[in-house]
Amino acid sequence: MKAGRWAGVGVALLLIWAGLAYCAGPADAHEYRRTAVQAAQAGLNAVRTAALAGVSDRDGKLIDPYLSVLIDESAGAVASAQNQLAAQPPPDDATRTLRDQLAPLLLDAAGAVGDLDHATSAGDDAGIDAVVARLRQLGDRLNDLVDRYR
Amino acid sequence: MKKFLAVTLGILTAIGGFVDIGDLVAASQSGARFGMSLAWVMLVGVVGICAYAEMAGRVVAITNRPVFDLVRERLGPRMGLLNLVASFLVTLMTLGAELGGVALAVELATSVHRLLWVPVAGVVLWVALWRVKFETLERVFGLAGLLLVVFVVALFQMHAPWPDLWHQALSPMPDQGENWNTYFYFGISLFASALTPYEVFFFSSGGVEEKWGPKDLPVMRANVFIGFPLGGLLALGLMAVAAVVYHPLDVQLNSLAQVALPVAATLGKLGLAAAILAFFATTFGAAMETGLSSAYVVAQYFGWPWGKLLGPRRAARFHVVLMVSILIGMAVLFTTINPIQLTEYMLVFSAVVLPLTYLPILVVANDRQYLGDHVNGRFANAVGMVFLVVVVVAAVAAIPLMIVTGAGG
Repeated sequence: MKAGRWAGVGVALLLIWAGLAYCAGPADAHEYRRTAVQAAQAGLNAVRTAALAGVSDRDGKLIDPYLSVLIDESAGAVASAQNQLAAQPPPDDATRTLRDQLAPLLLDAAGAVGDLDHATSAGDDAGIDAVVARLRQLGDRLNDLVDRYR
Repeated sequence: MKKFLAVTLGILTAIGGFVDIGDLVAASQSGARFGMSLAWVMLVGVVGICAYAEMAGRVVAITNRPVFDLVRERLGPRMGLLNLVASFLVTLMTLGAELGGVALAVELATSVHRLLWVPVAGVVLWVALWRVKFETLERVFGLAGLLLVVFVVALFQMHAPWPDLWHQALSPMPDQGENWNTYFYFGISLFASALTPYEVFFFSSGGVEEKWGPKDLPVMRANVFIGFPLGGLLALGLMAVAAVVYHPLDVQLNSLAQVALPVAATLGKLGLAAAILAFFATTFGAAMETGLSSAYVVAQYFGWPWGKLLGPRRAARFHVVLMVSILIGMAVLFTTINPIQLTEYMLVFSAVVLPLTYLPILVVANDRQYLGDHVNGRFANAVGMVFLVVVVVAAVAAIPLMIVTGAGG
């Protein structure tokens, strides 16, 4: 009985190890696509939140520490999405196309969030409006990409 | 008049104390992702917590012993130990998440990184639990939690599309582009947020600390049957605000700053300040409850003297467990895990252990040896049984759904 129980534990550990080994292996096209869509969604969340924050700040509705946290979080989210995308090579042509579409959008998003930080710090309302328009456009393009590949 | 005021204050405290980091996260995320289509889950959760909190409160009022104590006696030390381990671990996770919520709230007001606020929050929590009166803590943070009403005010101020929200609430299904697995994963998180196990431990142990007796049953019932549903309405307010602002934009929420943004955009700096203060009050109040609950369950299982009303000299082991629990909660946050992510995991594991919390309550509430004529009636048992089936289904499905959906990603 005891031997049987130990054998059961051994089999369970082996299965867990096999599962982890499978998960740690190189991504196939399906997994890569899933990762890329997650990265695009994270970028979308960040740029649209930043755009809302920009408009609210221009209207004098936010306090500085809060805005600073919100912009830092957006910048961090875009950087994480870029890392997530860069962490794996695309396994085939279709996923390479996906990467080539998404990577520049995330790069633009990182730039736009940085520009929003600059414009809000300077109290430059016209600058904020311009960046918000850019962020919205990026949001639409990222949303389109998420819808196409989800 | 005095009694009426006391009852009103109790109800208001129950409303403000209902929401914690789990509700803030689960309600907002669900609203952003699925609009109001998961509102029914919140309703089911509120009915469940009302039914079981009333049972737990009744057990305490009649026996003057906390539920966990009776569970060990009624189900034996082995079953009690399983219950203890599962409940203690989940409560520790919850404590970590609540402390993280406190740190996040203060970060929003100061822009100083949350990790620097974690030790401050931990020490202040420990000192507050040690030095400040039980009733004062409960009232102050419960009433301050009422500031969450700012989300409901914002909802009216932003001229929410009520027919759309109503339509979403009456369409309990995922949107196009979403799938049922993710829908149910978020549903289970939302369900668990209304029923986090510590709520029952705190409620019943607090009843013993406050020396409830049979004459307190009407007040206890008023708190439960009026306070909890109104607290649930605040959570629905959070969900509705996210549904109006974020859902049409396809934005998913993963920070408290995002949760507060619609209020700031609608009501300005004053609204934002109220929202941040509400986050602080609800998470600090819940950190207090989870810290005490961790110590309650351990001390009650081992039969040690326990209670906040007993000083550290008279209940040394209880206070040591309390302090160690707070330290563990802080240590979890120092792994740099995002408190929102910790909350998401906490909700899933809460769902897994829910049957271990709620089944024993149903058993004890039907035991005439303890409750005499105050055992469950048919209606309470019917609600309890139906609800228990839901709890078991949620517990079984929680982990597989977390894996399949990549934690809702």
